[in-house]
Amino acid sequence: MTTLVGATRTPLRARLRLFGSRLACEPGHLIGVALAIALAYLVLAPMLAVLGSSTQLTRMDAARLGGRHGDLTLAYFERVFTSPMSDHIFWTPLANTLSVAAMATALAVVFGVVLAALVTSTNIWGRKALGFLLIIPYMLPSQAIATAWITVFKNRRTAGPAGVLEALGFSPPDWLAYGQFPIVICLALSYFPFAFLLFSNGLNKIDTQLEEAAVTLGARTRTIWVRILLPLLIPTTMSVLLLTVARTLGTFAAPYVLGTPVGYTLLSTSLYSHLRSGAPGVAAVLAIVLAVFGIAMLAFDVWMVRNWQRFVTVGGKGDKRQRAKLRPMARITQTALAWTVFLVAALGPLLVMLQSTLLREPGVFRLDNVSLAYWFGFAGQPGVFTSPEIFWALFNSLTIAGTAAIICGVLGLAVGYAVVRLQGSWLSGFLRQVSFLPYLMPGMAFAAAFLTLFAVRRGPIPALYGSISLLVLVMVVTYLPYASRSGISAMMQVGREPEEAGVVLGAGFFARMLRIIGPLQKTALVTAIILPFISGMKELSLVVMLVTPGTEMLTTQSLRFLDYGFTQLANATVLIIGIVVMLMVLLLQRVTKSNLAGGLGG
Amino acid sequence: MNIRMCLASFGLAATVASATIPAQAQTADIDKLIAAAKAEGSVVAYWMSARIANAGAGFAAKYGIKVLGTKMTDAESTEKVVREVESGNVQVDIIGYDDGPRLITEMIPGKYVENYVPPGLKDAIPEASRNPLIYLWQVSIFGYNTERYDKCPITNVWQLTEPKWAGKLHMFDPRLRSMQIQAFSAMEDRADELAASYEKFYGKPLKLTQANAGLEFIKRLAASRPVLYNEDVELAANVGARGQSDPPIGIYTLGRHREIKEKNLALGMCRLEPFQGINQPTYIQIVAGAPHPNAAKLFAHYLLTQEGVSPWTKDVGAYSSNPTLSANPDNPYPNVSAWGNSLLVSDNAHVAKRRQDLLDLWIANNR
Repeated sequence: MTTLVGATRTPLRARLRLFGSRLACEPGHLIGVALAIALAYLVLAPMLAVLGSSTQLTRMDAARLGGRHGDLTLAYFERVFTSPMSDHIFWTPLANTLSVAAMATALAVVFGVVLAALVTSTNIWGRKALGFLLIIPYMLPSQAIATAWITVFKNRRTAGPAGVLEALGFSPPDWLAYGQFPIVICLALSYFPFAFLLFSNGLNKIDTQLEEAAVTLGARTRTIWVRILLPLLIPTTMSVLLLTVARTLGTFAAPYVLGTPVGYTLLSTSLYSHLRSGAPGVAAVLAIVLAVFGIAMLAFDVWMVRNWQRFVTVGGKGDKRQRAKLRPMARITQTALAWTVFLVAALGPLLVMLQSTLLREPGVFRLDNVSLAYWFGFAGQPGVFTSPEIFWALFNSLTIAGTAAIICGVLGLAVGYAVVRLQGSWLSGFLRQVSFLPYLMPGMAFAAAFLTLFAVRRGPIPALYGSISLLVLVMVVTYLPYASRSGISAMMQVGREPEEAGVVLGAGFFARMLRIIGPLQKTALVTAIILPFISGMKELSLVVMLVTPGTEMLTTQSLRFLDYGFTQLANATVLIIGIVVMLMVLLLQRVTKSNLAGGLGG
Repeated sequence: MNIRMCLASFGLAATVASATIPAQAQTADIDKLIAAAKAEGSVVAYWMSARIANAGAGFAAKYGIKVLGTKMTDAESTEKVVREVESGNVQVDIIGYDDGPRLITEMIPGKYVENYVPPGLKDAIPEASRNPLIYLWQVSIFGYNTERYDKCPITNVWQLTEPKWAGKLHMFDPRLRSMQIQAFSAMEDRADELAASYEKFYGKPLKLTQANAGLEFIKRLAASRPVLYNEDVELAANVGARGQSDPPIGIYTLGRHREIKEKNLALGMCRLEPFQGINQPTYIQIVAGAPHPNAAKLFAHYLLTQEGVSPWTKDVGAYSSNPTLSANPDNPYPNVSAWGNSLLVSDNAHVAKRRQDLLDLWIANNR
């Protein structure tokens, strides 16, 4: 025995020493391992918890079906896939979901490509402003556009006060007011900013030498776009598809508002109603299905990236693209087109929200009905400016979303650093994929799992439930995908050389981070902070489960106002979210002289 | 004074107290509870109604004990209470809860919550309301638009299943609100009455495609595609908005009528056969391992007194389970018993057994 131990000891020690020295010269390993452990726990554990609740009897079902709480069961899978109810619970919503996701994504991609082309490559008026204005729809809570749609297009099916079109004497048919058509439009309008950002960025990065060569050879603009630019945008398109499809699959607020009046259900609304009606088992199965779709998309994306990158060469050495000089007529129509999208998708919903807070009696569009009562309060009712709740909720929202966003940004860069430095190792692949997984899980299903995991002290992590830190943690995990994507794509563009130069000059790890990597990655860091911040400010389904008295945020406060019947205050709160987010984003971009598109990675 | 004397005098005092005025012992009990509650300083409540905030403010003003009350749906509070108790990190002390069936099959047997009847009020609360303890009855009614119609355009619930009213009933989404399923269960319990009422109204017997007239009604109602809601604020507003030529009928809590003046609504109550609404109890339960158990108990006591329940009962549509307390004088009936059996009241055990089947029947026909 002793000889055996003696014989193995030396090589082990040697290996350890080798490992140690490798760690010292490549901190990526250390960061990678630490991140992998943290992510495995924070991402995989909640997913396993969801899996668990799909296969274990709840207490209520145990009492009804006979059996004990926690018994393994396939009852929920059977109910979803094969029971007589499966058509209503799953198959019809599935068909609806797939068609909505496909159409909404296609529309979002078309909007994104066309607008990106107009803004980056033509001389339409107001290009600079549009670059920012066209991402506003993403800053509005998802139900805002849906509510605006209903306010304009509603008909007598939902009864009540007249809609805007009805007030003008036109009665919209059901298909225009509710169900599939408006859901597709609203989702496309909510999520086309992703496509717009990514395509703008992609177009800016394409080496103009390729186009110059084509021009030299006598190619027309159309040929250049069809044969050169669009094919080069295929990897970007994949990213756009992945980001947009996953969102359209999981969003529930807009489909709920627009689908309910005609009984049009998607998987996300089916999931929501099962969670609400106390059927967490069935809800978990539906969450798994949604996640499986998302993961399939991710796998497809990975495969595509691997196969397409061989053909793509993005140099980035050429000059900025010459902006096409449109003929006057074309210039006018195309400017109008771009601004119309802004008016419909961003300004429209904001104005509808605003008008509802200004009309004393809803739906009565007369001048004598306009007042600022809901803003300053009246007859003992609080107004926006006099309600302490709104102030505190704003404070909480900014604190929680802000803290989470900053942590997210730093973590995202760390993931990017580890993934790129360790490229080729399994650790790199693990980090890259696992850090993206939360994007594919519906937030509603995730929240309950987080509650279970963090209500108790676990090892070094104290019981977080009941404190703001749980909300921060949950947001960090949920929005890490944006940050890590941004971090990875940015680190890809930074070679090893600058850092090695630092090492040669004797700079330590932190000095290298602060002096070399940090400044190089400024844009990516800003993106990695802004996107989680926007999402955090408008998050509802994730936090509604986790807020406790005293940690109300703007979104949950808006829900409380609805509960009290203060519809106008609820709308005003949504308006505040939109405006605060816009101001913060503008400020950050101004201060850091960067733009959102820079970092998302295409 | 030696110990024996001390004990003797204590015994004497106790005998005198219990023999002459038992109320004094109760006062002593409640004083002790108040002292213990004040020592705890605050109480956290998850409630089914937003008006918990007003009740909390009243409680704080009276006892100096802060109430952190949050409105939550039953599904949310169940999820939170179960997970808090299982993890031993309990944040909440007391819940106000509508889902009685879930309470008796899940929450109480699972020892997540405990039933507590304030000793001083035990005799005042009817026995049927004590376990689990009911503190409030909230009435939901069928409402119509009084601007368009002089009186309710229907007189019998079966008319709602006629083609004329297809898509013209606005109600809670049964998939989201347990109250609606509880009402369905009560309809099943009263199937014979529903059948008789059909025959009386139409002059011909009801043709059944389901096991009973209750299920038949639910099936036909689902097939007539009512417009469904999550909350009833908007529901009532849509029924009562002025300027409508063909307004719908709604089922919503009578309490919404408190907004008639403020929102300039035209809402009136229908009087239908064989039932004209739903009577929904709200239960109070103390959470197991509550961090402020005494404050929670005192709050439960407070909610069964006039000032405690007034945030709800000062408006129409709500009654305390304590029949000695008064309600809003504008109510159609002065107290719960005066409504007679014109309201649907469900049996928790029946609902627990039937809720899945009832929901499935609804979903399968609502398309």
